[in-house]
Amino acid sequence: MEHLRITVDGKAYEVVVEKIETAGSSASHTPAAAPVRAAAPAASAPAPAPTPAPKAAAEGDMVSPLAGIVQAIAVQVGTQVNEGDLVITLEAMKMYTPVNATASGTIKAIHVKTGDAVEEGQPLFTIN
Amino acid sequence: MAIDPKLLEALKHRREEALIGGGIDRIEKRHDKGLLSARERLAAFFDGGLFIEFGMHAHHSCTNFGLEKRKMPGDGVVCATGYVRGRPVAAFAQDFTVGGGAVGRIHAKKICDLLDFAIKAGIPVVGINDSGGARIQEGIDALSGYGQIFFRNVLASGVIPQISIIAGPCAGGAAYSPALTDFIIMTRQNANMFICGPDVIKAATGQSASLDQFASAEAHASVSGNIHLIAEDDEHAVELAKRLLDYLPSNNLGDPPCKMNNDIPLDEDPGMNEIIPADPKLPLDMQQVIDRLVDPGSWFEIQPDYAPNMLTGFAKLEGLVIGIIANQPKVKAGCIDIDSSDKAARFIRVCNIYSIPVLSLVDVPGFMPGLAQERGGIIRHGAKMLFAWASGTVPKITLICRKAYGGAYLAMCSSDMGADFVFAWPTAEIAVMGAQGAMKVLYKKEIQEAEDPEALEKELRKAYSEKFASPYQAASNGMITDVIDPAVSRSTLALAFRGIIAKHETRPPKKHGNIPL
Repeated sequence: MEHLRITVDGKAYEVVVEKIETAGSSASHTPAAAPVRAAAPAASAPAPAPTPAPKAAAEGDMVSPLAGIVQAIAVQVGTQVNEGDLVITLEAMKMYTPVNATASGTIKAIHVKTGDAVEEGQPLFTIN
Repeated sequence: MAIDPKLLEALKHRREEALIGGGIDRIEKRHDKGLLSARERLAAFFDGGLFIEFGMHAHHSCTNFGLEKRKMPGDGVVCATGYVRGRPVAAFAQDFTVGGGAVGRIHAKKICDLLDFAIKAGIPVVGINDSGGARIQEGIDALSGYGQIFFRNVLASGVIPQISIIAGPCAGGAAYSPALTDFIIMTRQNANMFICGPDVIKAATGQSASLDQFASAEAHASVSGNIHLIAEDDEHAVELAKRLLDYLPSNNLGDPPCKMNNDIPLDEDPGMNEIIPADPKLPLDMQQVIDRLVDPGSWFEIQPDYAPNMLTGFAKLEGLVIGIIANQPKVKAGCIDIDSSDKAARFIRVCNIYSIPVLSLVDVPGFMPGLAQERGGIIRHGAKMLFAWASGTVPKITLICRKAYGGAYLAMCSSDMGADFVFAWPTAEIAVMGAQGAMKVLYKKEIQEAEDPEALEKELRKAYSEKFASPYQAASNGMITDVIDPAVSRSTLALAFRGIIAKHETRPPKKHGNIPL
């Protein structure tokens, strides 16, 4: 906070100037009313926080066939599944898309939870 | 004054030499691997194993690199005509036992002559590819041979059905002749098809790739979409080719070979109603719908492993051959994406060429959203479907089962796109966009300013769904022929197809349209 006196056309004004720090913008100390060209922002608008990149699919991972929301998870870690059993239901494009086990085995890990938004190709669960 | 027996003896000798191709040893080696020889493949294909051979005594004329001393019976390819289920068909089979089935000038000429003959006779051609590639000793004569084959493949395209079987290596330029034909069948083992092999890929890019990853039948059937059907072995491959011919006319001026049933039963199928889930979010299994609609055992799916969110295939409906394009909501919610657009558009055009009426079964929430789709050119690819439908002049019938939203509704052949009949089930939802999206456009301000935005949105969404998530808005605008009970779908479609089978439509004369490739 700075108190400044500014004279415009011979008339003095007392003003209070508050400096607001924002990331990426270069706050100028030039008094507000001074007839100078506003400094262009030094940096472009801050980039949106990057969404955490889905981890790459590994051996035994079953990946999402399309982008959508996890609507229901039918199994728990340790559940025995047979090939073709329903494991996760996704909701995308007004539809439920079943994601079934592609092999028989034990669910070793579930990488998502109900309500998560998933990308195409993102690992959903791992079968042992 | 009888013929000199020596002449007959000499002929017999020459024929015997030609018939064993590269020799008994090489043929036996193939048998050990479970492969048939070129002539055995043709014998398996033609009725009674009988065929008339063209150019059995052909021989190369190359004198480079000592080739003049090498005998190459038939110059490595067997060309023939014969009958398949009583209809004349032409076929050639490359003989891997003769110089690796490599293509030289005479080899290429034999194939070209057979293609010319087939075009003249108006009969289908089946090519069995099994070749090491160009015969390098013949230099650009071999290359020129490929060019001449390609040219004839294109001349024949749209005139006579062309089916390729890949039953061995098919590399580089050789892969482009099959690529120009209507259908490609590939054997699961022992066959591969590529432009650049693993060594070239490694040298040029540093990438390590195995043939299984990009050149095998499985890779082409599911990833690249280059082939249409996988065969388990040589016999199965020729069986699949014969089955394809069961649905195709001999040429573009004929009708598909079908015996239409005299009577169309009007029986209802209550089972059809059973398979439609009450919850609109639960996917309808379109495969089950097709199984209930068509004549038992007649569904012949084409490209089953590629873009399975769209089903394409041939079937018979009360004896009539039809082509089916159908959304499969069980995969990717049935959305239309780049690959499924390409698959469907090509199939619609195949049907149009060969006078096969087309049935479109619709349950589509829209085009697939996403960065990859937009950047990959979904606009251009999706436009292929629009182009194929609008330029197709065969009978086109659309059955809207459930969702038919936005541009995807048009891409599945609405009445605007030239459908001759459009039927809808009571479960049909025909709208420009889904309720949720529509709320954001129509009532954004109202909902934001409401005291209870959630309640208002719910109320407005309900009103929208009642109005648009039904077939009756479209029906009242004259966009639908009739709303039908799913139980009468089979008989309704059979009657409708029978009624439009003699359709004849003419278009302004032009060289060709400009389909967005």
